[in-house]
Amino acid sequence: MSKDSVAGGMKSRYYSFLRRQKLVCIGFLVLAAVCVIALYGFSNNTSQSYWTSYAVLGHHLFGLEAPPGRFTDIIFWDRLLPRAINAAFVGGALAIAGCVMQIVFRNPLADPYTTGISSGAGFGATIAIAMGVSLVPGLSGDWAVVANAFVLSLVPTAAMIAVMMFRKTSPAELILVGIGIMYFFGAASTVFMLWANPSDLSGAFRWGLGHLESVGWGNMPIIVGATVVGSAAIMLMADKLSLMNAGDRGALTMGEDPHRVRFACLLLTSMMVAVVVAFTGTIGFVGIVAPHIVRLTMGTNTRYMLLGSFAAGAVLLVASDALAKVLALPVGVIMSVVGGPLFLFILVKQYKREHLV
Amino acid sequence: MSILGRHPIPQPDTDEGFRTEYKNYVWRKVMFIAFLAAAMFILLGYSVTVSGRDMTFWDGIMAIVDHIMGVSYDRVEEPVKFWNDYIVWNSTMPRVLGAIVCGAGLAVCGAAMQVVLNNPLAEPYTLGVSSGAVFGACLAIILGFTFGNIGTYGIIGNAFIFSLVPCAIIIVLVGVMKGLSPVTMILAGTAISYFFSGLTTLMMVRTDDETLTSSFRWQIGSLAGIGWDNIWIIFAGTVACTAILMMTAKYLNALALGDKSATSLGVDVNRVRYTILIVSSLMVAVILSFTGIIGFIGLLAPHMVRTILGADNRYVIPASMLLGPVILLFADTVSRLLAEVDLPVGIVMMFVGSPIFLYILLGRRGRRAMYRCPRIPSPGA
Repeated sequence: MSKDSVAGGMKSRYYSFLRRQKLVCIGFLVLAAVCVIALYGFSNNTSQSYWTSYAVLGHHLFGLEAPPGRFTDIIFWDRLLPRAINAAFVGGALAIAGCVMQIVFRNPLADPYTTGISSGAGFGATIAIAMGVSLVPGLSGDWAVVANAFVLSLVPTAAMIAVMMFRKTSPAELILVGIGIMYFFGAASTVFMLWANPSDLSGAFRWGLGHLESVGWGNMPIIVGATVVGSAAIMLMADKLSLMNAGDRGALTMGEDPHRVRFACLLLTSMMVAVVVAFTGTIGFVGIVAPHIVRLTMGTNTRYMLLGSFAAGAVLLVASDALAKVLALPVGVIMSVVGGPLFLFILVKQYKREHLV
Repeated sequence: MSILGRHPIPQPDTDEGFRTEYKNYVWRKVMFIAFLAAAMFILLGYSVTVSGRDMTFWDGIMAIVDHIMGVSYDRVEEPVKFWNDYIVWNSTMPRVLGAIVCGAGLAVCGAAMQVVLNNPLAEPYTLGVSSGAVFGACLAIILGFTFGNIGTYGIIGNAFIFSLVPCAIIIVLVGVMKGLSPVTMILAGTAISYFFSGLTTLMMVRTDDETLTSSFRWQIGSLAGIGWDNIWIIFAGTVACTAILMMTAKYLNALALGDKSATSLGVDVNRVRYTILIVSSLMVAVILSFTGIIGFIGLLAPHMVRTILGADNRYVIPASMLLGPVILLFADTVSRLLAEVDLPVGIVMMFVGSPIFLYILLGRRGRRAMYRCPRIPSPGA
């Protein structure tokens, strides 16, 4: 066999490998789109049929004839569709942020909240709900919660960034700084929750579980905008991120300052996640599990992993939200109870494939 | 100039140089451990005097010593001493001892977990033990479901039984699948804990606000539930498990080098990992069914020790075993001093502990230590 044909074989194998990854990515994205529409159709409490949702969509997009029924349009167009689109973007943002965090910290336990964002946001929301304090003057009610959560979620990140500017920190050290800050804010919000009366505690507790119902056409552009900008910037950095997989020394050898990449990634993901969290509360699971699902199913090519995580996160959250609405439960509950065993199953499968059991 | 590189490795000229260097190395660590032990006893003495009675440090110590020696006082003739003895022995002592035992157990467990799972974020609860316990406790508090008719022990019994479920899953997984990597174990633990916490949340959102508050309170972690009637269970469990962990400590240094290096050094990696995971899960299950989830110690006490002492596990394990109690005892004393504000010990610990932790981590000493010891469990994804 000549040298060329060996190289050719390698090449074609590599290309088929890439094609498979692309296919998985695209598959996930298509699934996400289908899920959005499915959610939009399935989860109404009216007696409309599944296809009504498509009729409403056609009416708004292409000017077709409006479906009958007085509230059909309001329910589908104003309540369900923004929520579904929002779920897709929130899930995508959290998953891609989780993927980035796991890469830059080189830790499988890292998630979008590892820098302490959730604890800061939770503290902000708690003081707004339990004590009626608003950090941004002139706001009250839901917007005070959002503003508080956003402002305070940036505090742990700011502290971490300050540490990074003055010191070359190892990833382990940086995570520990985040955790130290997280414990402090966590303790502070627990104190306020204990001092609050039971109904306020309940409110703060529910906020922490994550919720997608408070999103309409009005505030959706903020979330979608932040997600798109943040994810695009992350995708542009994908090549640098893939160097980070080689470890700090490896990245340095290949001409990339790991410290700088980490700094940029932290800043980007924190801003994106802070926006998302301020509106939706702390939705767990998707940020840590979606990247792992992608890694287990399609390998570790960073470019496709980022894209795949986004798509997988979107699918996961939209599907859980649809189920959550049918069963009238918080979305976090569905995701954990259904997704936890599923994830375990994937892990076992993966083990069996590797060890040829 | 060395052959290997431009920077010659500094080498002491003689055998004698090595010996003194090693002696200094050991001496510093032993001194630190001795200092922690002394701090623990002083805190113990002070802690028993915080009981709402007017007592000096020596009164507290004497009350303990006298009681152990079997001296008893007459209620009428020596009322002060009688009541000192009564309060110290019956109300504060179990709690103080509980703080010591729980602190030691959690810290040792965290130190061992971080090494065997090869992850600085690992803690005693990483494998999902706590989520099972919370689920059990909420089952008792919210739905009133308990195993058997055992009254006030219902919550504890439930918490213990259900914390064994994640343990069992992990044990089966690790036992059946030989050579499961630490990363997969951690992820399995994450999956399990998400499952149980999802179920817990389900109960919590469906209940009324008062019940939610009480189940929320159970999770925070408090030593108030420990008394003479139950401390022996915690004590027995912790001592037995800690002893086993101490025996495996000598393998931990090899394990921290990575699985391949450890195997080539003759350590049966899978067996050590399996033993440590089972033992520490059982110990944590016992502790947290009585106290609720006491965070912080298991994760951060070992890191504090490593930052100060370096990553030699022969010393990290005993030092953690002493630093854990010091932190928990201190936090418990503060929470009793602030009795009117009613802060559970878990919260006090986080408030006081996290600034101290950050100071140690970022202080000049921490920087030196962190960079000096490359063997800190490195995050390997």
